[in-house]
Amino acid sequence: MTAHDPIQGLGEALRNARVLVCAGTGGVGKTTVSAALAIRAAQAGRRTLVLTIDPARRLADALGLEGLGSEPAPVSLGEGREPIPLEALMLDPKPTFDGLVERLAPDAASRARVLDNKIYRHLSEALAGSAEYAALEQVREAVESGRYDLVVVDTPPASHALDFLSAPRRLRDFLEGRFVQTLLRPAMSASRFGFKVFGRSLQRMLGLIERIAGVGFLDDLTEFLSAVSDLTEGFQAGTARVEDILVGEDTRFVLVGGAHSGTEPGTLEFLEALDAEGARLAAVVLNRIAPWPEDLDPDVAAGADVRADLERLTEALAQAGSTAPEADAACLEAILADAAHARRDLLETRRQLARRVEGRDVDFHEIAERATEIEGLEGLLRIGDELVGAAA
Amino acid sequence: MTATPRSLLDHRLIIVTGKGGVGKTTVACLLAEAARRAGRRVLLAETAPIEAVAARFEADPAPLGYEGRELRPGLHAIRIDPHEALAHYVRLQTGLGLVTDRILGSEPFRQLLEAAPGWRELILLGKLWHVEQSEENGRPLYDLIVVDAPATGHGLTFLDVPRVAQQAVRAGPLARHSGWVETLVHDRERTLLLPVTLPEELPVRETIELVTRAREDIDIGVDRIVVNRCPPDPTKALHEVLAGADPNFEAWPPPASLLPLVDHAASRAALAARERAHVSQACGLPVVDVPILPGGTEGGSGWSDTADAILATPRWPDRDEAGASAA
Repeated sequence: MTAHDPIQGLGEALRNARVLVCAGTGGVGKTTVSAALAIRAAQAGRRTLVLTIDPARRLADALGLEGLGSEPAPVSLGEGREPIPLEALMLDPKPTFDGLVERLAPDAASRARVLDNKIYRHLSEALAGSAEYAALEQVREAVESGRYDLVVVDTPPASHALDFLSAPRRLRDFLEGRFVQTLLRPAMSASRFGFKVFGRSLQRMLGLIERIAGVGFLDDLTEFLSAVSDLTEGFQAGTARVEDILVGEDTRFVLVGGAHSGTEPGTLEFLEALDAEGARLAAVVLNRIAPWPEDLDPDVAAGADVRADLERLTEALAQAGSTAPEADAACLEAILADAAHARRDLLETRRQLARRVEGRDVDFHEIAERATEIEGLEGLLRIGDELVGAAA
Repeated sequence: MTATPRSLLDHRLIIVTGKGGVGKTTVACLLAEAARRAGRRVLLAETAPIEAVAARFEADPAPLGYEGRELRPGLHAIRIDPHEALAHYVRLQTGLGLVTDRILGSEPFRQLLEAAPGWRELILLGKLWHVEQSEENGRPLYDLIVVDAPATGHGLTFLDVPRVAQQAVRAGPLARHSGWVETLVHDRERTLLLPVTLPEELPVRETIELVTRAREDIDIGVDRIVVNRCPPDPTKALHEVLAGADPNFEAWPPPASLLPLVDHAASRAALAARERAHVSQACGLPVVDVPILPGGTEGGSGWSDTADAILATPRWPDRDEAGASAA
């Protein structure tokens, strides 16, 4: 952010940051990049944890691990390689949320009240959106445990760039908000008959909720909120600390983007959202860049008048031995058009990203697409090399 | 293996789903356009906070909004904003316009909504149910409703919300309505889940998980997988011809420049064939291929003429491809 930023670029982030968050739209390879970076940091001797919150359990696959549990597990690079101080953790939202409640509850009775509450059970288990709350808690826990020099975070594929970053604030706003505070006032017992002492507008609102959601729902809700009230202080302190970590001096973001056309606009939006939140960006990584012959102008190649050239070429190729020149021509045209459009999108993305981060110490990296290779451990090591140079 | 699935056009509600980045919106637009061309009255509903549908049909589109508008004859598109859908629903329930608006707009209620999970998904499905039930002159207002489903980490969680809601809310209109919505989700006659994947390792793995969950947890119809962005597949002969071309042969682009592109395309196509066969086998479902559309699906790029590809009879990738996958 400032000219005196002690952590500039990806290499220094791997050496000196305490938290590295890989953010970006879905389908761009965030999980792969975060795993590759975590391996590099660990290879340099830093005690590293890589945390993924993707329920698809990608990370376990990428690292060749099966069945990561809810505790960090050591990662091995396989036989013949030096052991590295790397652990990986896959987050399962439910146990984490339960764990949080268990830690925050002042006693066994209030713990049971929350865990057994109907609304809590659904809130934490089946409904969308709770993963971010729980994930960020886990990040905080890992950072505060003192067990790691670096925590690398792979963010969930959010439909909205801010979902992840703003989760703690939304939770805290809710808990501190008038609705909850009013419902939680000691005089307001769990009974809905207590509602008459509320302000008129609140009364109206509660009446409306009850009319639609049915008698009983409000009782459950009030019971839930009152049970949670025992935990509120802990929640609030926790979410504030999570926010501190996300925008803290020792935290850096890596923006991952650009697998193919269509993902670039999302990448730019993400960058704007990160800026708005005050996140510190260390690097932009454009992943899976397809090859392009430098002697061709992609604008010309993407144009409609290439067709005539291709026909001429195909004719000549037919003379040179092609048995299905028509099909070959169509195929060539499709390949060239796809590659040219991808190249144009890449150039445009580079230009816009560069303009957006002008004057800041942000690294740009690109990772070539290898269509022949399924990403495994070797792939992760290669990507690490491409990003920060060959390992020492 | 199994009977050919019935046409996509013979459904009422098709929920296009998949992880972020696989091209859900593209496939939803192709399907809506193809159905419109086949004479169906189509509603295309998008659900993401940022509109993406209108830009596929128009060069410089105005927002669709909650009321939406007709993008092409026979194709009406809307964006379902959960807040507007909620206001609409509550007004229908209470018959009170002003009071409802005041309550819904109040600060405490806004805070409640901000933090409460699940209601967005529930109200979205409720809105779809409501549209599905709507009639005009004794026939359904729309023959086919195509939904560009929300992209979430869980992909399918939103379809489970009506069931969960009925457990959290025991009585009253909300419980009853959730029951109706849940019935629609499970109805094989009316509703189909259309998973979209890319012919790549991770999207395929996620699709296999998604289809498993759709069957085991959600209980919703799914009869094919759309494989989006299938790359062109050059023949071996094309490589050899380009490689053997006279270096003095004058053409634009020169054969030597095309060769690396063709070779890259060939390995990409081989990978795609393997992944396509894998997803089909693992899910026990046939596939529909959608080719890469050069120039994307921006308004005016001519994609709509290729929309019919989405209606093609699903096929089972042949044994050769499956064999390559096992190797």
